[in-house]
Amino acid sequence: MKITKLPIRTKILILIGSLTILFCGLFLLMRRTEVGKLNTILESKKNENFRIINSNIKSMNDKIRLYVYDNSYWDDMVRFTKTKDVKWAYENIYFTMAKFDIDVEYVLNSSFKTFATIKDGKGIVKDSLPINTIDLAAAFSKNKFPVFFINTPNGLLELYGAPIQPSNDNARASKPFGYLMSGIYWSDSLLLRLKMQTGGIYKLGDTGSFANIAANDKSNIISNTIPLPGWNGRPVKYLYAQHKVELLDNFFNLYNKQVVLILLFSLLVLGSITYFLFKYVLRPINILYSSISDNDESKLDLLRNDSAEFSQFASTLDKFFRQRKDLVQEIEKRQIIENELEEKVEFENMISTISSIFINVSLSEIQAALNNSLSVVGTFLNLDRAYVFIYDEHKELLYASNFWRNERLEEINKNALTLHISEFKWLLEMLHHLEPVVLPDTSELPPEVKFKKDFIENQNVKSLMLIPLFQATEIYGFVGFDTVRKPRKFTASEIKFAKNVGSVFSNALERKNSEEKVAKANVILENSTTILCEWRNTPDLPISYVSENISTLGYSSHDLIKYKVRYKAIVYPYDYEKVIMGIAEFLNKGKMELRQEYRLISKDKKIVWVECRINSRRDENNEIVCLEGILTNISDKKKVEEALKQSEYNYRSVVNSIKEVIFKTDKSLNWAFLNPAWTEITGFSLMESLGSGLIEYIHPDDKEKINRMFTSLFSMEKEHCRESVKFLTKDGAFKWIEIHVRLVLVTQKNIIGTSGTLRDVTDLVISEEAMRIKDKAIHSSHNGVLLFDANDKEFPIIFANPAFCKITGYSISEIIGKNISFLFGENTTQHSAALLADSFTSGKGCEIIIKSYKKSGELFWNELKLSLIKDKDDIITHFVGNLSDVTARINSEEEIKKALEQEKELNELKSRFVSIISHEFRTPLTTIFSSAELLDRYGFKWTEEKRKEHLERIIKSTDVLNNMISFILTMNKAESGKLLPAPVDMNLIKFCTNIIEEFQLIAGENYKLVFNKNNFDSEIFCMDEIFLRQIISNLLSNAIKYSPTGGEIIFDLSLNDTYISICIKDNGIGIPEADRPKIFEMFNRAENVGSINGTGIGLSIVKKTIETLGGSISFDSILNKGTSFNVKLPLINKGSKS
Amino acid sequence: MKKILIIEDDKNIRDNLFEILTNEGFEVIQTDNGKKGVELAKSELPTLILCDMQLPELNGLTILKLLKTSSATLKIPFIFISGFSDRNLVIEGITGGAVDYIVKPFQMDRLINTINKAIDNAVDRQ
Repeated sequence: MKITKLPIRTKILILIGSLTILFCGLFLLMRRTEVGKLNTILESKKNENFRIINSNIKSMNDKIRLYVYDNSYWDDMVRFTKTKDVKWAYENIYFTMAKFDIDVEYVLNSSFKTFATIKDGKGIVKDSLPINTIDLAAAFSKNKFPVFFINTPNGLLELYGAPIQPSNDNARASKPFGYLMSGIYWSDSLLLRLKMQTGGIYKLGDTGSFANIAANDKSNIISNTIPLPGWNGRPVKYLYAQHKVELLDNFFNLYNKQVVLILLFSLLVLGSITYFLFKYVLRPINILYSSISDNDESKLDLLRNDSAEFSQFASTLDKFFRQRKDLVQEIEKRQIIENELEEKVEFENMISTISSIFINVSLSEIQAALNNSLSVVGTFLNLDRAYVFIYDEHKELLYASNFWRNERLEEINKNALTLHISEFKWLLEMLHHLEPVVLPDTSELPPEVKFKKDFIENQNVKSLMLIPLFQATEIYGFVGFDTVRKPRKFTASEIKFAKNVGSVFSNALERKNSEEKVAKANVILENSTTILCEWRNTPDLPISYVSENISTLGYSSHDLIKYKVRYKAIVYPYDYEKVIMGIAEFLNKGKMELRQEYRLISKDKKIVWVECRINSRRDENNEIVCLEGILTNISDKKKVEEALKQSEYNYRSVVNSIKEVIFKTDKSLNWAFLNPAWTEITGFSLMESLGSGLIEYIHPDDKEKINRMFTSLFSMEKEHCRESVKFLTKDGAFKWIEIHVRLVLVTQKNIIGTSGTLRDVTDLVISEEAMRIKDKAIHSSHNGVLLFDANDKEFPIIFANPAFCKITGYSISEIIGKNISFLFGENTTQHSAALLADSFTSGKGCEIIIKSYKKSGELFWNELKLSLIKDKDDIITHFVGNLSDVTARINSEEEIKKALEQEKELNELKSRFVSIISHEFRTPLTTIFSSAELLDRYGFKWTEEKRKEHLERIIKSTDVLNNMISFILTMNKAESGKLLPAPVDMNLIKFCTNIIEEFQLIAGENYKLVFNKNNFDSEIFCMDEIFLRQIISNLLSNAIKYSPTGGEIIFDLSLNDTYISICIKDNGIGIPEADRPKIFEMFNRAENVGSINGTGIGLSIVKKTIETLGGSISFDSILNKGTSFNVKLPLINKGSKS
Repeated sequence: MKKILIIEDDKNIRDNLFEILTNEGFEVIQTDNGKKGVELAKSELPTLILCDMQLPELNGLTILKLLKTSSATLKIPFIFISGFSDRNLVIEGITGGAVDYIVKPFQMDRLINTINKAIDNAVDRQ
């Protein structure tokens, strides 16, 4: 942290502190310089003391050193080393030791082994030097006269050594005979001696550091530590020495007084400065600071009486404060908003993250996406568990479809994933408001919701937030978030966020549902007859989508979508315009849906009725994107509809046209159904009557009667009742109504109402008399009268009067219920029968004459007049048939008709005859005309022969013409009966022979004619010669004409009892089968005549002639084999010539 | 030389027609039979055909029909010469493709005129 950032108060304190430290530092530095000087003095003093002590110690033991030096440089001692004479030692050494203050003397041989030890006060003892020989040797090798200390049990021993050498060895260079070691113990007396010599206090110690000897003021004490070395120079003990120095005492006293003064002074100065700063700078600043930091401008009042600067500053600040306050408020607001925004953005980002999880997720991945989202949300909100529960209506369960838990949590009990609705109705009730349920701390739940609490605590839930999942207002589950470790508050934004998550899930689940439905629907669709279709909204309706099952019409969806087959081509041409107009109108009016029924043409050119339901899909701008439609094949429906319409019509017309009231009532006798006849009879409308009571409409006189009737009906004494009662009418009058009623039962005893009919019998009563008269009239009529029921398709006879029975011979019981056609004979093909049937079905009157049969089988001509009986509504109820026997009249009419027909036929024949005859006339005329013209033009240059040839042609043709004319005359005579035979006695045989000869002559040798006569006893017969000639010559001429060259013609003439038989047989071309019936007709020639000349009149003349004679003609013929004509002519007695 | 085929069953008329047309400078071939007439028309390819209505084997209308179905004889002018003067028959003949219908008995000059005109028309058409 930088100093500049520190508060000013701290800065001031630091400044004062630093000044104090600096001052103290300076003071200490000064003091240290002084102490340094003092120390130098002390050091030198100490060194001096050290030297003094050392020299004191040295001088104190100089006597011993001299003793050792002398005694070792002594011949007696040398001798002693050899003799080891104790007595000598005792006398010479022991007694001198005290003189020299020696405490102990060791005599060592040359190899440093003690051989004599003399102790002061104790004599010669057997102790040996407590130091090993090697160390001793080493000590002696360093110094010939070593001085060192050793520790002994009797205290610290200072030893002085010297080699034992003869006295003549001045240089003391010879090899020693032994060694002498004299020692003194550093006892308290020795230390006392030192004290007395140098002053101070002494003490022995084992360590090198100084040990406190005296407790008094150290400042004027000099301490020295003097090491006491062993044989190898390392100290074995230390000598501590302390000396008091008077000078130092004074020095420190003076110095300390100065310091205290200076310190007091400086503290005074610093305190003043501090006080000033605090009072006049820091306090105002503090006030300012606190007023700024606390935003409390009232504190500024404290400064108003302060120095001018601060007073002014305070008022400025006050102003600033007020501005700032506003600003701060503004900023605070903004900050809140910013924070909220930030949070919102964060949540929105999260929502979009979650939403993006669901984008492009296939149906099967939705569960995974939900799981994924739960974990994202759970982690994001730092929750412990997140889950989706779905409400299964059928099983009455709430089950967890998705579950997420924090990884640190233990796995949840499986039972908790399924909740029984019966136990969790409260949960659904809580969610029922479609708002999130938030429990930040479940422990705060009121006790009255104990059972809920139990559950939540079982789950160890601390905080809980449930978001309902719903569609429309129907809850089908919830998303839950909770914590189980510690309670947690949910902020408004978090709740809002969770709500959004809920709606994303809802959408996803909804999408899942709907996609599942779509998938199912697709399957259904493809298998159904309903075709989905989508059209672009352009005039010729191009298809942009169509479901595959368009194939039921034989088309492939691909062809339609790719525009290979146009929709226009599918629509039945007459319907297309209607379809287009319908769509245009639909789009203009902006209706929700358009329904059209029209025809489509399937690929195999069949007409299919479809119902097309169209919706328009629009974009945000309400522009039509496309048209979506469903095509349903309603061909079958259409057929059924037609049939239904028909049957409905039939039913309606039956029910509506029935003059009787058909009614139903409920158990309390209120009208439940009435047909229009009710209104007609009573004048009350169906609307006002239905629901009201039947009894209300009964005339007061009859109420008791009707009650009795219903009582007996309801007690089931009777199955049905019939009663004539007075019903009130709307105009205030009444009508006689015959009520016929029965119970409507569900089971045997469970009455649910009544039904029946009401019949207006008022007129019946009134017209009874009139009817009786009319009835009598009908009964006494001579014409048969029939009544047919028009409502029955069979049109049965329901009435017949006695006259009918008289005419036909049937009894009434035989004909009632029958259709009239039985009169016309079985399977009649009469035109008038069909006419009559048509009149019945089309409801028209007619008048026919038809052949009918009486019961006896006798035929009679039946004139039948059919007329209609209609009710007020112009609906036919009956047909009336009026029947009379007109056989006598018809018979005469029949004859006249026949004659007329014959005449007509004759006329036709005549005109045909004229046509043919004119042609036949023209042929010879042509020859005549052309030959004459040729003669006229070229005759002059022709030869005589050629001219004759043409003239002959003319003559011959004229002859043909003449023959023709005589033929016509003959025919005319024959037709008009004027051709009368004139038989005379004649020789038949001769006559025939002559004719044969004549023909043989004409035919020449090319043909052979044979004449055979049989059974003739006489040759004279009475016959018309001309007729006979005509017959024979015609037949013979034909036989020759149609026979090949060299053919044989046989003429057989026989006589029988009553007739003469003529048979003329040839072996010619024969007559083809087809021509045989017409062979005798005028101008008719067989197909196979080829170029053989002929007019086609010969045979017809022959036949006419024979018939005139009362005979007959027949023929047998085999094609290409021959023909034989047989003629039979009756014999005429001579006497009957007239 | 212009060739005319006569199909006529009446020998006298046929002979007279032959006479008339030969005198007018036509080459004339003739037959009394419908079937032969068709064969001759196809083999000889005459300039014009004169044909009766009522004939053995094949009648005039059938002959006309047969000739009109064959490309070779299609354009040969065909004239009926018949004793039948029924209106219906005449109409049938003309609609069947005949250029004229001469009713017997005929005047020589009118016959020749008709024939010449028919031949000229046929040539013009070609």
